[in-house]
This record gives sequence, C-alpha cells and structure tokens, in this order.
Amino acid sequence: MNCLATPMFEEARARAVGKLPAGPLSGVPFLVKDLGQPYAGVRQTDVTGALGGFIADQDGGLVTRLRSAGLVIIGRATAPEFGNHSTTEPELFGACHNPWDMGRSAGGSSGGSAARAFSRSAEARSKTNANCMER
Amino acid sequence: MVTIWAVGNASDRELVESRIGRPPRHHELEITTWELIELGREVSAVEMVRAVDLLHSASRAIAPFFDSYDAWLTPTLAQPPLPLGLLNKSYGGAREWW
Repeated sequence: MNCLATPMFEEARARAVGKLPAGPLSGVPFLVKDLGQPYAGVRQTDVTGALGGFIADQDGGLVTRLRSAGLVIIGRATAPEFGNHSTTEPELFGACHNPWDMGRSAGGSSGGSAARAFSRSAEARSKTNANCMER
Repeated sequence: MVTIWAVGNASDRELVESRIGRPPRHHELEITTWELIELGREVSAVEMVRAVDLLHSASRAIAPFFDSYDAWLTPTLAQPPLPLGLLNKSYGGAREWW
C-alpha cells in the first residue's frame, strides 16, 4: 500500500515489552501522521524532500500525550506534501494505494492512515484532515 | 480558503528554512507547493484577517448545530475513490485545485 513514511516497528516492539504507563489505552498500537507530530529521535519529513533527514529533537504535544497514555506508536503515516492535496501521491514517497483497489486513491491528506484503516489493521491513528473527515 | 492555505504554505517554507539553515531549493518542493508559497507571499495582512474572519463567520453559522448533536456525519465521498494520478496536481494549477 506504501502507506508508511517511516516504520517504527523495532522501537515499538521494544516499548511494548517494557513497562507502559497504566490506563485504558495502554499498549494500544498507534500510527501518527508524518505532518508535524514530532517524535524525538525519529525522522520527520512533513512529506517534503526539502527537509531531508530532519530528526525531531523532542516529542510534540500530541505524541507526548499519546505516550503518556501508554499507546505504542508503530510508525509515521504518509500524506501529501504539507498536506496539500486530497490524494496521497507525494513525490517524496510515491503514491499510497487504496487496499480495496490498488489503482485508486486512498484520499488525503491522511491517505496513509486511511489505507491502513481500509486494510483493517489493528492500530488507531491520528488525522489532521482540513475538512475534518474521519475514516 | 486558498488564501489561508497559501499563507500556511508560505509559513511552512519558513519552517523548512529554519530547520535546514537555508531556503529550500526549487527541485526540493513540488510544483504546486511552490505555487502556493508564491500565492501566500502575495497575501497582505488585511487580506489574511478578512479570510480568517470569513472562516470564523462560517464556523459561527455552523456551531449551533452542535447544541443539539454531538457529531455531524456526512459521506466522505459521493462516489468510489478516483484512480491514482487523476487528483494529484503536482504539475501546476494550485489556484485551480483550491
């Protein structure tokens, strides 16, 4: 589907086997979008080639709250550059495919997150769609 | 909407420059992004405030709906998802797109 900008599976596994903060969502896998939402030590592209290998030096507000609640972030989902389109076909990562029909769009800007949702993967995920759509 | 979105892209460009220590080069951004940046840099402060005011007016008109309902559900799409390559405007036309 080409829906992950940066997989974080190894880090997620290491975090999952450790002691997680208690709470109703503790241990739930989660996907953040690769637009903003910085995670310390992990590449953040904002889906633009201009940022190169930028590595966030600290967690952003959302990531801080997610981690404090015990969620386990498993990767960063792809999107259009700066979230500019309603389809996820950025030059940086190439097209994200709709898992129900690989020749079709998964939408945008949260196309990577949507593709994972359409594929019935287990994790929850963050969205920042301009028109507030949820899928 | 294009006014606010374009200014957002102009702001994103500044953020990129602050992170990489130089202005982004033309080949490093998609064509539509460059168009939006250029549009955003032409927007005056007055135009931006008027655009935000207009957006807030729409918000205030919609807000009373939520006095009675917790959520407003609408179809994300009116038809099945479009083929790849049809929606992306990486080859120009930012103003047309928005």
